[in-house]
Amino acid sequence: MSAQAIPILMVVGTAALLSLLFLGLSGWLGPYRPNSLKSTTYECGVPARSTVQIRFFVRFFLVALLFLLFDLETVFLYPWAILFRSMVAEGRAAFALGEMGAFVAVLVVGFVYVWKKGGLEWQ
Amino acid sequence: MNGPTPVTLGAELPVLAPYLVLAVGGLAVMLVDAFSGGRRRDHLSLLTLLVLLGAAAAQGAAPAEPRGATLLGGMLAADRFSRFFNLLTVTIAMLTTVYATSMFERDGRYRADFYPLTLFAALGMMLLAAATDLLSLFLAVETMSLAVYVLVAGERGSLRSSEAGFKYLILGAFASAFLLMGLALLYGQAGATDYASVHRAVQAAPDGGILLPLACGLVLVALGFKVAMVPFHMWTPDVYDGAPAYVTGLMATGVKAAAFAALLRVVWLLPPIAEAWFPLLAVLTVLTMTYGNLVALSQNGLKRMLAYSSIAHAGYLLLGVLAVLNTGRDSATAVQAAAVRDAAGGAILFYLVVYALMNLGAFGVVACLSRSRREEADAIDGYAGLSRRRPFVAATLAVFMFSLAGIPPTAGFVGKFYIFDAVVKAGLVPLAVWGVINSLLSAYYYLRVIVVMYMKPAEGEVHDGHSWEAAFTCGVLALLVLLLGVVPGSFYALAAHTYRQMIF
Amino acid sequence: MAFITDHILTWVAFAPALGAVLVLAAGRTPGTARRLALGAALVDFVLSLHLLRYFETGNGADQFVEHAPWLAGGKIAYSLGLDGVSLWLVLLTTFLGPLVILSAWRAIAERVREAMAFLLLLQTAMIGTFLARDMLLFYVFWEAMLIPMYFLIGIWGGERRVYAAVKFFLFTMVGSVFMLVAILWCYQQAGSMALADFLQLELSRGQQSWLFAAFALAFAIKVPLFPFHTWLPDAHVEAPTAGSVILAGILLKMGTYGLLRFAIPLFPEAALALGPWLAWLAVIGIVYGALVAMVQQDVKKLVAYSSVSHLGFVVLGLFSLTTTGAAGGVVQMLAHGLSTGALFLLVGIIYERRHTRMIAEFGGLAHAMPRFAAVFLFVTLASIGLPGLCGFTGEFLILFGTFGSGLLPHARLLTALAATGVVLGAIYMLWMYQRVFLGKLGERNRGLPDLSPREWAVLLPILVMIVALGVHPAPLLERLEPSLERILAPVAALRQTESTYGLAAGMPADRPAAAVAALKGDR
Repeated sequence: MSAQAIPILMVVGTAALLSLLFLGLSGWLGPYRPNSLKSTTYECGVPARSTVQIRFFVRFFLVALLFLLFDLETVFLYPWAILFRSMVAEGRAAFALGEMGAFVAVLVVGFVYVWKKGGLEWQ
Repeated sequence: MNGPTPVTLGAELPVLAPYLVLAVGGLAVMLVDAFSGGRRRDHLSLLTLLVLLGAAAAQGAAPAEPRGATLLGGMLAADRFSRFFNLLTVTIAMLTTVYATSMFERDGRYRADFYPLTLFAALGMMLLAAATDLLSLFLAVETMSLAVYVLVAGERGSLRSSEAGFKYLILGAFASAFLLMGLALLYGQAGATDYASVHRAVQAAPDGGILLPLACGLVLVALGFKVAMVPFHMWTPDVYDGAPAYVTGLMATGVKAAAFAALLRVVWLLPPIAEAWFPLLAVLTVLTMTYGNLVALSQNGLKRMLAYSSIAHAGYLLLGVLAVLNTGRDSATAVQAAAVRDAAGGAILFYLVVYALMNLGAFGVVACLSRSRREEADAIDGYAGLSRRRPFVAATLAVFMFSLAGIPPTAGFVGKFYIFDAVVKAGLVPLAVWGVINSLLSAYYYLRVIVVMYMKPAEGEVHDGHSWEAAFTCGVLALLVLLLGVVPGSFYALAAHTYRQMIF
Repeated sequence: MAFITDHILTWVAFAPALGAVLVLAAGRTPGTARRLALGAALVDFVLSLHLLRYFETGNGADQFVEHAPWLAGGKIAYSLGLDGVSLWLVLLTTFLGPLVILSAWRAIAERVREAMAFLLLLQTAMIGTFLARDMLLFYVFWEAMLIPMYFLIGIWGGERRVYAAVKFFLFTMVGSVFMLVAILWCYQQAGSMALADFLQLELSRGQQSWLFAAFALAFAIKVPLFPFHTWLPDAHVEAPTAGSVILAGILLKMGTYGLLRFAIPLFPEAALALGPWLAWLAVIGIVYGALVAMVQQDVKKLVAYSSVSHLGFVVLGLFSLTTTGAAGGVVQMLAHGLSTGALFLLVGIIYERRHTRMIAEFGGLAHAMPRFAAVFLFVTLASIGLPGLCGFTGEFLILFGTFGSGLLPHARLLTALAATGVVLGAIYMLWMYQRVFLGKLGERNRGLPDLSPREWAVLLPILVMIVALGVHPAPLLERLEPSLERILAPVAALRQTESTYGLAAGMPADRPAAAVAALKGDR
């Protein structure tokens, strides 16, 4: 294992050395004369009138979370779908279907809850 | 894995019924809440209590397996041990519901999400006590914790509640990560996730490996976090203090009991490695007791005082766990060792129940006397003169305080007696001495509450809320605490028998 | 009646508790609560007379035994018994019970119902402690005593009542938790909590030392033995009169009773080895208590310190490890219960009239309250051990037993030092009497009413008992002696095997009753 790793290590080491070298060189050789105008955010355009950290409306987070929740749950459908054929072959189709039915039912309850609680309305 | 086990759901359904009732009941409560917008929500509390009663009835009706069995292909145990904790959890959840509802009614503002979350938290606790598989252990911890995170933070608009929820969430996520890492290492060693296989692999493992002790340590850290063992206790005071009183009661009793149940199964599962950690665990136990008691001495809020005291009580319970672990180390015969282990296990179960009774009683008094959710009866000075204003409530709180301090003839004394007895039997006399010194320390701050209630005149802001449900519940709990203090024999026998029948 | 007499000990122990429940349930007005409590205490006294009537003299074993399995499959039992030592202490308790309630008749004016209930509950716990023959049961009663006393001091006490109550509680608990561990350790060795099984334990000397230390600490704090006495003056001064009387009259005896019943017979070798230390502490306590009492400004505090001194005598008697000395100890316990109890009652009476207890405030009271002064003088003389009154019998037997003890190194020196305590006791008591009752009557003390009929009713029974105990202690001693011999048998067994110790040459037989009889013959 170690013999194969040597070239990789050499590449990594060289890259690190080189980048440090250039950074150091530019800092050493380059002139550094700051003034207030140079320190502004932009050297052209209109000055920023408010804080640059934009406050998103909290609804965006809510929607994002709900999307993630319901979207991720569908991932569980895939392994089930793949296994379903073999389960049918074993004669346990009803069980497999029932399992997924229960799973989806829980999701539906959650969906209905969110809906009725107004989680899907914008205002 | 053991290969595809044919799952015979039909046969297991009656035994699974308590869990199913809670799960389906929780969903039902959610739906009912969703479709009853705007109106009063007291029907939700009624429905929640019915679901909990249903779960208890289902547990009662479940066929008793004389020597226990596993469910769902080894995922859960259906033994006396899980039955014991299921009934305890349901009782705790019912009391919590009563307290919460009485608070909501006083406020006129209902917090509807409390009810399904409590049901799901209870479900998680029950699963945690019954888990006999690494996977179900983790799922149970998460089910319980997620519900409790939200419950803690649920007092919307209260900065302290949000802070508590956030802290608990972040640190809880840490603990979960530790747990997952430990479980993964165990799985890597055993090649299977059910406890029986892990146990076999652990027994067969050669000595000197680093992986198994590491895995065991990680699992202990995670469970130590849940039971508030020093040094994983940092969250406890802030979270117990910031959470609403009714949730704090649930956390101090239900979460703690479930975590100890899981711990008892796990240390039973990993004896040789757990023994490797024994000296460290002993030191941590001593620190847990001492730290909790020392810091509780200087608290001015009842909730915060109870939070620190709950750390100390976790220490007493860990003493019992040490007694379980220590059996069979010296030259005692196997029969004697088993007897001591059963005594210690029974003592832990007994203490958990007693602790739940007296702590829920104390939090019940807080709930009873709070004017509203914003003005909880927290400041100890606000209890001044309570014995004149509300002699009955004051008397119950006095009983709970004496019991927490371990003064006879209360159940708290008997619980401590059984624990210390087991510790002495296991040959750990110095630890027992340290334990009694600690209960001495604790007497001081429990007495302080009684001093304020009985010996100080009321002045300034005093707590004067009122709720007859909470007062009645506290009365019943105080009676139970006294009853278990005088005739604990048969209940202790039940606890010891329960522990003896524990399977994994 | 058989229903009562078959379980007479349970009835004696729990009748006050039943009374407490009754008071709480039915004592709606203060008057009703007081009368109900008094009734319960009187019933209890009558029940305890049954014990005296049917006690089998000459039998040192436990009588009226009751036994019922309690925990751990009967290894821990509800086990009660009564021997000569317990008999007298129980009688002292039931005798003082009604008097204490009478004394609180006017002094406790608020929350009467709770006060009465606590007094009665305390009585149950105390009687239970004297009767328990199972170690866990004993411990439960022992700790349960704390709660009512804590409330009595803390709610109805004086200015610094909270401090005194908490100090009392924590001090006592410090000792008892170590005793709990010792009990648990012995339980593990003996396999049962029965006192009889504990007595069968074969323990090495080292083990005995530790266990004895744990037990003795609990009892020494309760006695209180110097230097563990600091809680006592606080508790006494702050407690209401009724609490002080119980504290001095009975509660302090728990410590000496525990030493006698448990610490000495369970760990005889350790008692032999460590007893001298305790005896020295006791003698230091005798002298120290007396010296400190001498400079007190507060009558109640003076009486409190005199308790330290008197209880020192008891401990000295017990650790003479002779039957005579131990009998003297028990008699002194009773005598102290009567005389100091009476002193606290008298101090309470004068405090009710003047709301101060400072000696400097008084003077010449004998002119204003001649009967009160006479009673006070009588009790003072009893307390300092005037022959013919109760204090003398106890002190005489203790000094006699200690002087002749072959088990106590420097026994004669100890006796001599203790005897100076008697002299000091006479000095501070009589000096206090002189300052309070003789001399010129101050303006503010003029016109103080003399003893009321209720106060006479409280004091008279005690005065009678003080004389009875002093003049005719034989009935007491003959019931006491066999039990004491039985209790001290483990030590006596050692005396025969260990050649280093022996009965001092030239001493008469170790028979307290005979000693007293001889004394009378000489007189």
